[in-house]
Amino acid sequence: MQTARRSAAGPIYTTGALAILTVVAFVALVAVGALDAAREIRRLEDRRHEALATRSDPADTAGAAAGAFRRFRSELGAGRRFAVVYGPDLDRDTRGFYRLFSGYYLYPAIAVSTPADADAVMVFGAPGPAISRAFASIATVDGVWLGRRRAP
Amino acid sequence: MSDTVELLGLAAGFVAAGTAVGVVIGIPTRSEWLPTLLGVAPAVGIAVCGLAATLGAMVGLNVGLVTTAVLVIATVALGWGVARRRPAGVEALRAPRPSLPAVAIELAFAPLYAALAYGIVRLAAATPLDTWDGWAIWAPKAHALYAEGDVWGPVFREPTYAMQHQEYPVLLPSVDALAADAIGRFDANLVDIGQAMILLSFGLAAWALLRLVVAPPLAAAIGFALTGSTSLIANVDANYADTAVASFTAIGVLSLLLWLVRGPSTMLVLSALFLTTAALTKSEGLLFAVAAIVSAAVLARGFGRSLTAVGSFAAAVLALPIAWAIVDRLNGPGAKNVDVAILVHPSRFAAASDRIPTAASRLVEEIGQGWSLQLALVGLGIGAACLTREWWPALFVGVWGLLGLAALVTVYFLGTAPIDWHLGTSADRVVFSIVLAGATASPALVGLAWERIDEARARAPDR
Repeated sequence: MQTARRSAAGPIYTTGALAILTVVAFVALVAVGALDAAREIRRLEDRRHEALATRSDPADTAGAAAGAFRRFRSELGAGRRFAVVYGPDLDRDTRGFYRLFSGYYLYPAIAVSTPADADAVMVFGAPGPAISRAFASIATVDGVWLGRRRAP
Repeated sequence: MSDTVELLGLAAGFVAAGTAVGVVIGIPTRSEWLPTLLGVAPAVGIAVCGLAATLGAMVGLNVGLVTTAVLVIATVALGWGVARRRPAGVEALRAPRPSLPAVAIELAFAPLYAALAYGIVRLAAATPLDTWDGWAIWAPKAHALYAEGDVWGPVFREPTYAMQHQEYPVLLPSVDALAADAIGRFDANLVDIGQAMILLSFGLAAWALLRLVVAPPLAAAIGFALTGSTSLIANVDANYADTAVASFTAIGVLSLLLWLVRGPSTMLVLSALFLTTAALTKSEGLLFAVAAIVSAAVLARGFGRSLTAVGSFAAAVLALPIAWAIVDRLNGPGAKNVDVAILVHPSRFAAASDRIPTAASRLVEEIGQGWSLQLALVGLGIGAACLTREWWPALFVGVWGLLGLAALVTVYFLGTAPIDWHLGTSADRVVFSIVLAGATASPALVGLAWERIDEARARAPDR
C-alpha cells in the first residue's frame, strides 16, 4: 500500500520539483539581466561622451549639399514657401533624400511642389530660363543655385 | 529656467495626471497600494496626456500644455463622476505586504533605477538627431505639431511631405510636442526625451504591476533589467518609435493578463489605455493591440471572464485608432506601404508567397539572436505555468506572441518594398514589442506557478 502511494506520488513530486527548478532558473536569469542593466549604466556615460563628440550641425546630414541647405535656411522665414528643383544628373534616390531632408531641415518654411507656388527655390544644377526670370539669385553654394522670387 | 527644470516640470505633470487617473480608475490610495499607484502613474500620465494631445490635434485644437491639461482635467472630472458610484476596481488583487528583507532588496533597486534613468535621459539629451526615421519621420511631425498645433497643416496634408509617412499616427510626436512646449522651442537634440520618459515609465509600471503577483524584489529586478536593455535605449536615442510602442504594448498585455487571471476591472481599463496608446504610436502597435483583443476573446471563457467585457475593451481600444484612420483619409490618399489586394489575387498571392518564409525566419532569427535572455525568460515562464497546470495564462502569452509574430509576417508579405530592404531596415526593431511583452508577462506566469507550488506544499501530508 505504502509502495503504491509512493509510486503514484512520484510523478507529482517530480513535476513539483521541475516547477521549482524552473522558477529558480527564472530568478537566476532575471538576476543576470539586472546585472547587465547595472553594467549598462556605466556604458551609458561612455556612449554619451561619444555622442557629444560626434555631434554636428543637422545640415551635415545632407552631405555634399550641407552648405547649400544651411545658406538656404538662413534665407527662409517661418511660413515662407520653397520649392526644390532637380537637374537631370540627380538619381531618383538622391532626389528622394533631398526632398525628405528639405522638408525636415527647412521647416517651418513650407515645401511646395512647383516653383510657381514658391517664394524661394533651391536648384540642383543650372536654373532654367523660367526660374531665372522669376527668381533672383541669392548665391550658388556647393553647386546648388539658390534664388528668391523677384519683386513684381 | 533651464531646460532640465522645465522637463522635470513636464514629468511631474505626467505623474500628477497619472495619479489622478489611477485613483479614478480604482487604484486605492491606502499605503499598501501607493507603490502600485505611483509606479503606474508616469506611464498612465504619459498615455493620457499623449492621447489627449493626439485627440486635440485631430479635432483641430492646439497641441500645447494648456489645451492638454484642460482636456485631461475634464476627463478626470468626468471619470470621477462616473467612478465614485462604482466599487473599487482592484477588489480581486492583493497588495503585497513583503517582509523586511524583501522590502530592503526591493528598495535597493530604487537608486539603481534612478541611476539608470539619469544615464538614459542624459544620453538622450546628448545624442544628435542623425538616424533616418528619427529626423525624416518623427521629428518633423513633432516640430509641425509644436509649431502649428494640429494635423491639418501642410506637413500632414501636402504631397510634398508624403515621404514623411503622413499616415503614421501622431501620439509620439504629440508627446514630443508637449516637451517642446515645456522648454519653449523645438530642439532637435532634445526631441527624443519623450521616448526616454516612455521607456522609464514602462520600467516603473512593470515593477508596480508585477509586484501584485510576484515577490516585490523580483518585480523590481525585472523592471530594472528590461529597462536597461541596450537595444531599447539605442532605439530611444535614434528617435525611433519602436521602444515606445513596445513599452506600451508590454504593460498593456501584462495588465490584460492580470485582468484575465484575477478579474479586477482596473486592470482591464489600464490595458485598454496602454494598448490604445501603443496603437496610436505606430501601426505595429495597432496589430499587437488587435492580437491582444483576439487572444482575450478566444481565451476569456477559459479564465471565466465574459465576452461582453472583452467586447467593451475592444471598442475602447479601437475607437481612437479608427478616428485617426478617418482623419488620415480626410488628409489625403497617404502612402501605400502594404497592398492588401495581394490577398484576393491568386497569381499575385503565389508570386509574393516566398516573402512569408523569408520574413518569418528573419524575425525569428532576430528574436533568437538579439534577445536570448528575454526569450529564455518567456520559455521558463510558460514552462513553469504548464508544469503547475496554469494552462490558460500560458496559452494567453503564447497565443498573443504567435499572433503578433504572424501579424508582422503578414505586413512583410503584403509590403510594397523589396523584402530584403524592408527586413534589413526594420526587422531588428519591430520584434521589440513581442520580446518585451513576453518578458514582462513571464514573471506573472512564474508568480502564478509559485502560488500553485505553495498551495501544493500546504496540502502535502507531513513526511
